[in-house]
Amino acid sequence: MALVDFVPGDGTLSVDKALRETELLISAGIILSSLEALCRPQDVDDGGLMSWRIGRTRSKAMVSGRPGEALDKVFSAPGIHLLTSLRLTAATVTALPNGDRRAKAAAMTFLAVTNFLLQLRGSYGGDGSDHANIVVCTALAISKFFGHDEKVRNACTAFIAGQSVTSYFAAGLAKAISPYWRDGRAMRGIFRTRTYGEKHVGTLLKKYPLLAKAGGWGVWVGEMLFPLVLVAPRPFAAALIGTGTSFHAGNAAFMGLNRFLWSFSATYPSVIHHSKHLSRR
Amino acid sequence: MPGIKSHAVRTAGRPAAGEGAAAIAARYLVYGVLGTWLAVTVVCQEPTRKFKKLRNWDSTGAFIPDWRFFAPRPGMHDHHLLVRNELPDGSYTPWQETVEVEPRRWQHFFWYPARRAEKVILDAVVNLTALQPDLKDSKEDVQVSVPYLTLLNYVTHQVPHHPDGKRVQFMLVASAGYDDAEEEPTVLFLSGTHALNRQGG
Repeated sequence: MALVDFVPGDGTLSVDKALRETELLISAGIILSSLEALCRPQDVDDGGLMSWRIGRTRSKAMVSGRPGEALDKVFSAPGIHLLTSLRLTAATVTALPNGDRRAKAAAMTFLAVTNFLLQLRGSYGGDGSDHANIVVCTALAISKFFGHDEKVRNACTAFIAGQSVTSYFAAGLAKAISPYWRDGRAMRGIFRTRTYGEKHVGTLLKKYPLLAKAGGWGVWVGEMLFPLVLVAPRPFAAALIGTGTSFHAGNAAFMGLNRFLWSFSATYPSVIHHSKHLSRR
Repeated sequence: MPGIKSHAVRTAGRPAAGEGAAAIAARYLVYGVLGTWLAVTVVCQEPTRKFKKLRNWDSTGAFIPDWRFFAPRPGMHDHHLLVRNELPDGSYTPWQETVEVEPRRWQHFFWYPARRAEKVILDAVVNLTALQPDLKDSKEDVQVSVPYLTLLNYVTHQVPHHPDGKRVQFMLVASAGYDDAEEEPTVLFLSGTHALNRQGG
């Protein structure tokens, strides 16, 4: 099994296994995201939809003085392409098995810092997967500097798990208070769009309004139940993890949210590590 | 000696006895930073989106995630960016759609590089809507806003123009997606016309 080489074996602490699995998944997502960005260099060019020339006008500090000049070099082409290529390299380094610990720490720190830089460059075109990358990579980078302190590494996985269960509960609660999600209009409305929908699913939900309503309820109830993964009995907790993974796989297939699959499933090893009945501790 | 090896690995993660004050301070610093970050994140997920005080402090949006996806009211329309040119005689070319959303394909599960560009149109519509509730009037202050400039910059520099085009204009339209045969598209925003600075033009 190739995976055995990528994930540490039996003698390793549970927290370090969780951190390694998180690292693998988040790195895979960043590799994908970087390759996608490098395939469309025109989007970040000066005349593109994610132009730094426009993005920098959000703040006076970003267009004036030496900081402005430095940001221009990094965020305009070809600097932005170099930055993306370096992120691709860093994510590959962190994904590889074994390797130099200091190199991996440097690579993960680079990914964490550049996640913030990319948000500074502009939020247009960004989504929740970028935010998941930020919280996960920052916690992973911090954990790399505390190889001697298991408590800190546990705090890092607890932070990732906390953000993960918060994300699902918040998404569910915001839907629960919405009449659109309670009466089925939301599912029907989303899936009729070409942007986040799919023609066949849209047709099905239109034909069967009860299915749209059940689907809407299923989404927000499932999201709000997700934090129970931390305390629920093993079969129920495992089912929540399975449902979460299937949810993101479905969103990738039918809604075009492919990067979410990697960035949110990257939080699951930490969630499992802090789950009362799923943890390998 | 697997037992000894296993013990050594398991104890390696613990701080040594009598660990220094600096190590303890660093640990509590991490607890403080990550704990505060998580607490602020939780507070800012208020479901009605009316509480914005803390989020306004995070101008880049990098520090406080917004996990309230597609809620409370999800987008139930497609948004379209259309472009036309004004010709020397004052007439206009027909409207042409640009940044068309890719039809859903199974490959999108693995690979969807156009997704971010498509999302920019949605972000620009949301921000323009927030700037000006009645978007049919194009005011000057809107014309120097980031969403307006983002779209104008793009339609000026990356959209092909008529060889004789002197000026460019864009329009944002909402449609009912796959239901567009049953529901008329709605014009959300009509930009001003802007000169094309063309070499030799």
